[in-house]
Amino acid sequence: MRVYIAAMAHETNSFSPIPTCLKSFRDSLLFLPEENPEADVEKVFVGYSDFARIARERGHDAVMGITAFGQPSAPTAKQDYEWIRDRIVADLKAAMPVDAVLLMLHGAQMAQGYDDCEGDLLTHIRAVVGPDIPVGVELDLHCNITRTMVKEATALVACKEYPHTDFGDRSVELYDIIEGAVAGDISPVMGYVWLPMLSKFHTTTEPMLSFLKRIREKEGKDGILSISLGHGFLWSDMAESGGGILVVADGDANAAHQTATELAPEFFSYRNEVYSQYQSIRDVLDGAEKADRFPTVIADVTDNSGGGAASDSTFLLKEMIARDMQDAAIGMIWDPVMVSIASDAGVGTELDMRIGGKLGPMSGDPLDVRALVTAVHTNPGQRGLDQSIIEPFGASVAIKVGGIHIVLNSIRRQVFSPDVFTVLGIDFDALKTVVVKSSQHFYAQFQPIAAQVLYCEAPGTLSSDIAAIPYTKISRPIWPLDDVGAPI
Amino acid sequence: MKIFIAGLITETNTFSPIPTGYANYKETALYHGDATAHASSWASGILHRWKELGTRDGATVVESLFAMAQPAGPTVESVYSAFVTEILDDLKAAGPVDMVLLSLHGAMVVTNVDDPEGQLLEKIREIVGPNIPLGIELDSHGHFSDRMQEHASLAIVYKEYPHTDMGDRAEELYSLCSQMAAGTIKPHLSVHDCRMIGIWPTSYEPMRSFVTKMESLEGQGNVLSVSFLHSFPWADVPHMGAKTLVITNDDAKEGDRLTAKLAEDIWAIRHKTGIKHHTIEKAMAHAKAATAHPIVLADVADNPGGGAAGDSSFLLDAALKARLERVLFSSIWDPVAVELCKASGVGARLSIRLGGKCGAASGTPLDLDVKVEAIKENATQTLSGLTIQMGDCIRLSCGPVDILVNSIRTQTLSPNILEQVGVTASDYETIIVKSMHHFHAGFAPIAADILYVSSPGALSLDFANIPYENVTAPRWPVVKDPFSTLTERRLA
Repeated sequence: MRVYIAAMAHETNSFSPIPTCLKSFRDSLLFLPEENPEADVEKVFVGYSDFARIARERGHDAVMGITAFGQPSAPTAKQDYEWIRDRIVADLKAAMPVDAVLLMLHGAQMAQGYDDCEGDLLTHIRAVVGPDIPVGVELDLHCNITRTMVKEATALVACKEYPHTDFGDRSVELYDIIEGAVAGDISPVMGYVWLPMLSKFHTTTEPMLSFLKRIREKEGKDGILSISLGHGFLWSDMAESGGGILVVADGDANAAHQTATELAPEFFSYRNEVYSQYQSIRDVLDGAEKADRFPTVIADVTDNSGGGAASDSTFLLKEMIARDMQDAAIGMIWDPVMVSIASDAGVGTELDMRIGGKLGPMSGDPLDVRALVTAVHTNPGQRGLDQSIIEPFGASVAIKVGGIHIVLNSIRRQVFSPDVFTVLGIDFDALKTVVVKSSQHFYAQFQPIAAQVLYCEAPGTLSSDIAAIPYTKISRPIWPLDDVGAPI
Repeated sequence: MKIFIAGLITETNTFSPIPTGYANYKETALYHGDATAHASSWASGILHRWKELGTRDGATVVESLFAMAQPAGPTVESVYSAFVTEILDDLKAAGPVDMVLLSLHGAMVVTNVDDPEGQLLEKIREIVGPNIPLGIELDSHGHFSDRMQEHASLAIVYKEYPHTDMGDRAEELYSLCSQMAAGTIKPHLSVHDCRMIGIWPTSYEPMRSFVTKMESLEGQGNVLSVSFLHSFPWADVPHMGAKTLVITNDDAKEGDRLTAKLAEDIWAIRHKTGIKHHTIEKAMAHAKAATAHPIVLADVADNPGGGAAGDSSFLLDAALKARLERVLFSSIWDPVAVELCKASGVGARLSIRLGGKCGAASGTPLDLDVKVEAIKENATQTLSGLTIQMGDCIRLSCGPVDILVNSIRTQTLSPNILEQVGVTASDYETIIVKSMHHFHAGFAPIAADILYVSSPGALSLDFANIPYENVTAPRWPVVKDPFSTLTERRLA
């Protein structure tokens, strides 16, 4: 079996203050095989590298295309998205004939002039390979699955866990389906039900834990090959934004659609679970100050760079300073200029600094502080979602303002790991309150060591105040903007 | 003949929010013995000149460190110490030398060291001994301490502000040191404290005539060189303050008399010198009413060349609110905004937060809807034939105001930066530049009028109210008559 493998991933926030171009991908991960002939393709990117490894293990001939991953931000410049798409398509043409195509995509990628990049890419791919070659696509669960994607792909499989800890397992699942299709053993067909909701779901707590368990029990039985929940990415302003259930079945399209339809009401009923956990700045800081077991971990969910926020908002920090909190830490505030200034001053220097609040109204006001520089690091990293991979977060400093440790960094990244604090010399065990700029991915590594986890809804780029988001393209009616009643 | 040359240059604003560390030197100019193998830039031109002259005369020129940092706060002590060690090690390794020429600023301050140039000269003197000519060329805005006087044989200061005469002064210093080494002259350096704080642009009267007068005195009788050191007001160190310097051929009496006389002359014209500055409101009204264009407004308080951040928003905000037509604002230092604009590309419209990012002196950040009009990577300006890096430079439009945003903190020196982003000075009615006075050389020829604007910031022109703690000697205009409290009498 000869299989073509490539990856393109960008979670696009239509309202992000951070523009996106080819250089944004270069700064994150633009892997072009000809530039890295010595690179181990099995250690480049989720999905893409899994496919490469499985192909090797099974004795298949893998033709490795590119990986283009960009840190979440605004829609990509038109010509830059087209460059990526055309490159993936050109590599496929050069690889023809192939028996199958395996792609790692995101599912919520937008560009100027393209609301549905994945649908557009898959249309081009299908035009090259024709109607009969299986095209398998692995997705992030924060996807807005579109009709075009369902029409052009043979099988779509999204990760199930948030934090996304199961890409590896989903890669195997998708590979099996596509390999079976190539062999003629199975005939994958898809059924999809879109759900009119702009929401978020955590899979680490009930009711989603049990729901996923029941979904897994349905897979592998009665011709059902795979079930994916599309959580949606509500900051992508496009017509098909929303949740959805996608089922891959063997040969029986009605069974696929039926299963999706059966699961839809339950998924829809959980749409408010995450929002109900969100608390105000005052409440989370009160909660931290009242705690008698430590640390309290507070997620600054609205300023998560992993959702396209600037990661330099000051709303929480301003209140922490006002309360003169002790044994507290916050990370990471993206402020490359202050990193260079504090680095140049050196450890032990006391400085008047203006930190954060640099990117726009969603960043809040910059804060003028008297800070002690406690650590300087030119190239720190943290364990990522895949804890075997150390992800750099750019030249960074730790500064101390009163009793608050602040990590400033220069590559816009969310916090995955306590490493963010410890590599900068902060004694994590001594902390009583830790604020992390992340929506949920932090949970995997922080929850096991946290006395309590609180979610804070500050103003910001990822505000859940959905009524205030200036949508122009989403389909109405949709929850929570409209009373949609029963969706099906 | 063996000549040892080196340079260590930064102008320290002790009120700046930005400390000066290794990275600033690295970004501005840092060469370990090979500055003259690279293109001449700003003050490294001085080393180029000395190398040329020495080579012409058949001397061996031993070149050591050349380090220069964009003005900011005090230099980090460990960085300074490493530079000094490098110069001293190179000097020892060079063996006996016949003369030492240093390009210094004079207004460098190091954390915990008020007078780093004096300390460096003392250490060099310890190595070369008392008789070897040790000549220093200083910036007009340098300070001159007793320790510097004790250890330097000769000191020559740039006469011009804007500093367009660094090369000429370098040549004079070389010439006098060579003559001293040859034993044909026996220089004596006289110094007189003017007891004044101020700035003295030399582009117009009465300073133009004062410079001409200094030049005319040179070569008369035993007078070899005449300098007026303006000093740098934004430095809270004890030896800050204007001084006159005269080098004579072994004529201390004439040198002392002349320095005192020149100080008298400067005192006498004190109300006619300096920078006449206007409030923001008056400057805007003037620009709005002007009929001949372009009017050039200097945002003096946020001059990066004096250690300010270069991102204050006071004048930009005022220009937007005053509804001026066809304005160019040059520039806002904001490396992150530059990257965002590059990512957006020419033609993109975006909402951007600009300015006000470094501290209270930067004012409030402005949230603006802008269009990216031009992107120039590695933009440069030229002054007196030298190339100065601006970093990547973006031209944004925000209604009638064009805003330049750049990534290397630098003052605006020359209209040729406009050409690099696709415009010319005649496109504008008002041009606002962040610069104290260096812009004058390049902009005066194209300006219908020039106004200096006193915005808030790191470079306040209200010298009487700068919060000095270490400047304790009486100095005008902090006190009205600094001489009344002295036992020494002024010359009549």
